[in-house]
Amino acid sequence: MILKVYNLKKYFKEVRAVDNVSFTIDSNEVVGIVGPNGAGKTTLINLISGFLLPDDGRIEYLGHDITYLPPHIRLKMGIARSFQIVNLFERISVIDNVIISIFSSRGMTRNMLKPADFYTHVKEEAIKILEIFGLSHKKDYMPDELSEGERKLLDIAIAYATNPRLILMDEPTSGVATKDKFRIMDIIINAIRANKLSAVIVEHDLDIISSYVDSVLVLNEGRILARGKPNEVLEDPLVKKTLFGISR
Amino acid sequence: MIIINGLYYASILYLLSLGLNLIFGVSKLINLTQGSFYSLGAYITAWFISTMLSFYILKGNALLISFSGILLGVIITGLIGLLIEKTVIKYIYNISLERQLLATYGLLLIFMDLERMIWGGNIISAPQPLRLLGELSIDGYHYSIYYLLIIITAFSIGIAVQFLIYKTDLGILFRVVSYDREIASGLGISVKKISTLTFFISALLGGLAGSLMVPITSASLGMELDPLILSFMVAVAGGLGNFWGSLIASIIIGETRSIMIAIFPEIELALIYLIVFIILATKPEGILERKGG
Amino acid sequence: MRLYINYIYELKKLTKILMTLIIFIFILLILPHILPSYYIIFISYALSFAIASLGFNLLLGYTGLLSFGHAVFFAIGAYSVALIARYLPNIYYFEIVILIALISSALFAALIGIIALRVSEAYFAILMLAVSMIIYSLILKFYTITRGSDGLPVPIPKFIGLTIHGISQDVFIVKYYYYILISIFIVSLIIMYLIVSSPFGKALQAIRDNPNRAYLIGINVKLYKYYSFVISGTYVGLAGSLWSIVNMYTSPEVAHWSFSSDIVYMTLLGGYTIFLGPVLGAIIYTLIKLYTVIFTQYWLLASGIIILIISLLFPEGLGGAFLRAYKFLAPLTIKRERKEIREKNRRLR
Repeated sequence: MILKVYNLKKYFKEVRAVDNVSFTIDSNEVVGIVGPNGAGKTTLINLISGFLLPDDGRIEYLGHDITYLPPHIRLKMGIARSFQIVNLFERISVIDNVIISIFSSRGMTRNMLKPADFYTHVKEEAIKILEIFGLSHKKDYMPDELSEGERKLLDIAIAYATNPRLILMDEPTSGVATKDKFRIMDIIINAIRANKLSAVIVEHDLDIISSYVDSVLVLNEGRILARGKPNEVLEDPLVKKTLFGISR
Repeated sequence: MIIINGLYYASILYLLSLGLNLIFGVSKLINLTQGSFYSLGAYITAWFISTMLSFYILKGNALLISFSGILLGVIITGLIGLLIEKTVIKYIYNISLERQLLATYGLLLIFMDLERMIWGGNIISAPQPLRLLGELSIDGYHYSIYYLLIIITAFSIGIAVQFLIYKTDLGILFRVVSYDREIASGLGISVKKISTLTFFISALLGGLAGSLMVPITSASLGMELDPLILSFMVAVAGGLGNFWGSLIASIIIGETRSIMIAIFPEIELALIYLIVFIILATKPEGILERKGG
Repeated sequence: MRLYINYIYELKKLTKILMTLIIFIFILLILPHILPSYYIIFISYALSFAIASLGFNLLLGYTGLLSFGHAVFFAIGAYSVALIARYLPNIYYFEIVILIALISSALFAALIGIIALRVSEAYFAILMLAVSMIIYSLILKFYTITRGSDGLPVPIPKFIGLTIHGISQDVFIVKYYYYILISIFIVSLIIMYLIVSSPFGKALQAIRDNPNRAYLIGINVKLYKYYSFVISGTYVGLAGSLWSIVNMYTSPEVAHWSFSSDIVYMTLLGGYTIFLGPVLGAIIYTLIKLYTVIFTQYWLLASGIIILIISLLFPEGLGGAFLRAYKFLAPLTIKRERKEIREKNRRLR
């Protein structure tokens, strides 16, 4: 049991973005979160990662109460996230994007006088991570020279490089051409399984979800509609009615 | 009298900050060039009035000339603003903050020297509007009518702009663009035109501030620096984009300045910067945030 | 094995840089024997400005923070020297005053930084302007101490362990001070290079590019901005103190916003996105300022245009232009391909 969410509530004036949500995530489990627009998926990610503080409820991570902890503390504890709109360091190279993530999450940025390039083991680790994400051949490129799909992978690689135990991904394939979506998900899931991470993936595309995750959480209007294995949940008539029109 | 002094200065600051707020709200641009509009308005007005009134024939129409001068200052400044929006500013909307600051700062410097080229280093005075309107006597206190005029003008313009933004169809367009440019263009709104219009209005406001001020302070090089910084503080303290906040902030800052000049006339030079420093040091988020809760 | 190869590769790169540096130093050292003394004085000015712009660019180019009032540190450095020369002539030794100037600027930066960095970036730029103008007014105000707008003379300092008798200031600069300047400049250059290439330097760049993400990968954004600010202020303060001795005189103008503007200008001129850009910019700035007296009449216009054009179109400045010419020799095909991808992506976005 890596993450436990109890009765989480987040309201924005009258809008109940997250309305009494409870669920748990196991170690090595990959959970997909689906739901129509405005169902509260991103809000939930924001609450777990620490971007937002809830109005009520509790979040427990590895036995610790993290409900009101700031994001950087949660990062130290092993929760990392990636973003729906790609969030990179645009003026440093691809490999530097990963290297800086490694440096800072290991507390090495205090060093002011030894050139970064001399930290060979860090560079090695960065290259390994880039290899997992299929970007190592473009390590010296600048982020704006990558394709959209590659940029998304880099965004996730930055989170991955902080050596998390739980990684939260907000629509990792949005904005990517449909033919590339599966390839990208292959890479992402590979990376996750390789390090035995737990993951939460918010997705719109139901085909993606059913093929890659261990279990699915269906959200609607801030409440959980269903939770379980993909093939079971997605055949549920109520779920189908709610999600009708999203995909297929 | 100190109060009125503070109020008229506050009015000038309010006009300037209105321009800053508008252009920041709609186009997300931090526009240091607003200071240039202030000095341009001042110079054009002062030059016009002093030149026209040096002709003996026109001396009889001093009041008319004065107000034409102010009007002219505003209009020409607005047109200059329009010109630079279409040639330079449109490239500045989407760049990073430091580059925006640098670019608009560059423009500020350019205009400063252009003013020096055109009008030389001398001070141009045009006190006529101030003098001609005379004073109002109430209870033995004398109030300069011109000061009152400034206050009334600024107040009316403030209300007019509020009306425009919140009660007209055009205002809706402004607000949509300020919320989200992409959505706005998706809705068929010409974001370009709205941005240009906003900048034009901003320039008019800046020019108005300068034109109104020049009978009191005269036009001189570098005159825009202090008002620019202070109006920036007004916009900041009131919360960027917040009209009521700017109103209150401009009054506070204007009165503070007026009181401090009266009590400590020697430190006037550093005064402005001290005010700025204190405000930013104590309330980095803005005054109104604390009040409104 | 790969680690070893990588290490060797990095060493090779560093050796190449070192070689270029040594050649550069060598050229600087022989110049006094080739050029007349006024050139040497010009280079001395350029070197002190270069230290200032180098420091300034740590804050602007690497951390992404623009300050319109960095001249204040320059003034603190310069006036530290001048005031000691005037009121404490017994300790007016070069080593001592430079140290005091360094400490004063560092302290001032440390104090101001606490307040200045609480605000967001646009306000920070203006706040620094306010700070420098307050100091400017204070210098003018306390006439009895600072001699106000008359300024203070800066005589030749004594040196610990070296005695120089009865020579003119010109000769002093060309024969002795020039070499001191070179050494201090080289040391500052190396230290700055180490700082920007270190993990800390990378963290600053991350802060520049995306402060939110930087925070989310564990960088203490506020603290690092503060460090960057203090280091940059110290550099500019050092530059001011060194400059005051070359200039033999200091006046309140060095705290004025127009001088801050000049610091921005010289940093931008050479290119604020390249490490050596500011150095190049400082050299060109010194050239323009000292040699084209006719054009300084419309100095604001000229610098304003340059600042506008560079910030909009050429953040790489003149330094970038040189780099392009140099890289022109590199294989053209790879560059063209990558350039095309970049253009394509830009259009798609």
